[in-house]
Amino acid sequence: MDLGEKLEILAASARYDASCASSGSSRSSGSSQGGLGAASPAGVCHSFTGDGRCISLLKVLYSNSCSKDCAYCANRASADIHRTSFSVDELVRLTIGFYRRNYIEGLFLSSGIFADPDIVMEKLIDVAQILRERERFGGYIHLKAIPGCGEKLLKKAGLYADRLSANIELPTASSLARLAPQKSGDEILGAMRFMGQAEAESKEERGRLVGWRRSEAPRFAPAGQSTQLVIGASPDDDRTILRLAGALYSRLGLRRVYYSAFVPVSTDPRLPLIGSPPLLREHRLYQADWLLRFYGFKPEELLPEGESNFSADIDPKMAWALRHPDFFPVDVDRADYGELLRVPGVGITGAGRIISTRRAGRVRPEDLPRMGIVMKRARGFLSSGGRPLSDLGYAAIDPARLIKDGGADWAPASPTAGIKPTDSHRLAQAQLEFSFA
Amino acid sequence: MRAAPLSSKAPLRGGTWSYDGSLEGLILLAHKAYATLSAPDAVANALAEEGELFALLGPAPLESARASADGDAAAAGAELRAFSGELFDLVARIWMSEEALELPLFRLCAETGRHGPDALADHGSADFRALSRSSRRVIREIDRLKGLARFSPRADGLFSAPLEPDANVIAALVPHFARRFGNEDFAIVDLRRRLSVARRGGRFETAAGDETRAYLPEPKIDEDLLLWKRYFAATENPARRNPELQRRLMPIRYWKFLPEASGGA
Repeated sequence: MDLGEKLEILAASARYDASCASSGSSRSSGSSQGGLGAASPAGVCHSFTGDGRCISLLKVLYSNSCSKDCAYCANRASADIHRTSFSVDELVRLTIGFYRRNYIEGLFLSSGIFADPDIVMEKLIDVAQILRERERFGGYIHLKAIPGCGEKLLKKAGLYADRLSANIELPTASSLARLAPQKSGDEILGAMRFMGQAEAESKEERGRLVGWRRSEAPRFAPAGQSTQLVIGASPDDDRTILRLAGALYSRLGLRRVYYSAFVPVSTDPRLPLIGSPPLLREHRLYQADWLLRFYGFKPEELLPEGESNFSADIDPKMAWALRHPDFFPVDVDRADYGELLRVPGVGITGAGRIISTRRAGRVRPEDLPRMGIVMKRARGFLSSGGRPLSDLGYAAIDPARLIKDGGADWAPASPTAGIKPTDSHRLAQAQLEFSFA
Repeated sequence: MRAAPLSSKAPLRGGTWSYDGSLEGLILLAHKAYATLSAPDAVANALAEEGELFALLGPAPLESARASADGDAAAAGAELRAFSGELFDLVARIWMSEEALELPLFRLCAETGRHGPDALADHGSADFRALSRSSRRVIREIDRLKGLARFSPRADGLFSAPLEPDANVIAALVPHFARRFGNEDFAIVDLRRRLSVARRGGRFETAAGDETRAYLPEPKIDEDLLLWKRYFAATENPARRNPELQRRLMPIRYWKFLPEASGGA
């Protein structure tokens, strides 16, 4: 099999992993030591596929041979697909060749579990080690942590990689037991906990050093760790998923949780019958995730007791605002940054501009649209000089219109996204079963 | 404590200020507006001399800029930057934007000299909003091209990327690619403005007009390019097709140089 065929197969096998970020790291070791490449903190998108997703990294599996038979996975042991593996040198050659042409920021390397977890992890580390040490490559490297591998290997992987990730995939132990019986939730969380500690220790050790000693001290995965949850393959509801994500951010210090709408890849009777991936549901979870990470919301605020799932019609922030009329109106002359962030139609940029404009003068309501405030969403929730904007000639919010607009923030490739109604019955019973003690 | 409001306009000294369209010229006038708290009511912009922009190259641009008859652009730039890095960046980006925004720029410089850097975030000011919009357009073009520039090898070992930027951003791209390429040779060629920058053996070479042709890649299809096209097709998830989103994130005008979109060599 030629390299091109392998590349096609092992890229197609890796395309269900949503993570492709190249951000969060800063590295110039490559170029400063005469090698190639540097990682910039903001990350770079090098292309966009026909599904509208950013290509930042060469995202492939080392091998798509897998001994595990997870029902939701395109590469499960029982799937009828071509199996192949790269060699370490082939991956090094592809990464360097693509990087030099500015096709990619670096490498994202995962693998099927084709052997003992230690052996799989060692292969991934080999590729990263050769890139860093032989090629003096300074670009971005994201390695998958293979659950069940030894802690020494995880530690070594973190010294070469910018980011590590172990995918939880299913948000509850019961769903894992049903759909991925060979996977162990404890093993995955154990690896995540270990990587979190290693990252914190490395940061602490470096903090004690000064000058060149600090800049030359080894760093454990400077861009931290991420994980992925598959959405819609199991009956777990949004509340379960969001609470898990919240715990991963607050207790394990994860940088990103990715949500990947389940793509029907088999007719396994344990899986829900859906025609197309639940992209709208995935979109709502990403919106909520942003609210957790940048807007100061807690999972319980976005989906309180008794609310299992986000609405298809109204985005999570608007839904929170409609549930909390007492919080509004928020005054553009007096509200602090955190309060402004809670207003639908006001984003991080808009809130920042309101605050900075106040330092220079007064915020005139007529300037708000030009400051990036989406008035059709914000107008019912803002006041100026103590007077609601609706008193100042801005039409109040029309709930019927709102639902239409709320849906309009979303343009799915196919409108039939979503989970079957029969599943929603079971959704309510799902519990957050993982413990983070 | 609240700063004084910015509603009072700086007194216009009026008259016409003229410069040669170069970045150095713009910096000198921006500095004049900032230092004298005044702005003209007209600007005469002679054609820029080709090649002037390369004073921007490197991590400390302008340090090499020569003193001109109008004064010392490097010193003026350093003073603006010491006062506010944001103001200096804004001047550079407005120059890169190639939009006729000198007047609002000088008014904002005067306003900033008068009221401090808070004027650089005053979205109540129409001048600031116009400048900020243009500056964001330049930043977006720089960010896009950091990702979408495609380098191809030449027989002499140089990796070269032809571009047609929407703004005159080539000087801002050079430090980024210099970091990325380590010690390796590379070139960027702006086909629209017929300007090029190359680094060979650690030294920068700039060219303009017909001379830039000497830095273009040779049209050749090789293995890496073919592998990349196959990778691009395979990594897309067909169950999630959304070409509209793709075109919004990567407008078609960039496709010309992208092998994965059947552009390029």
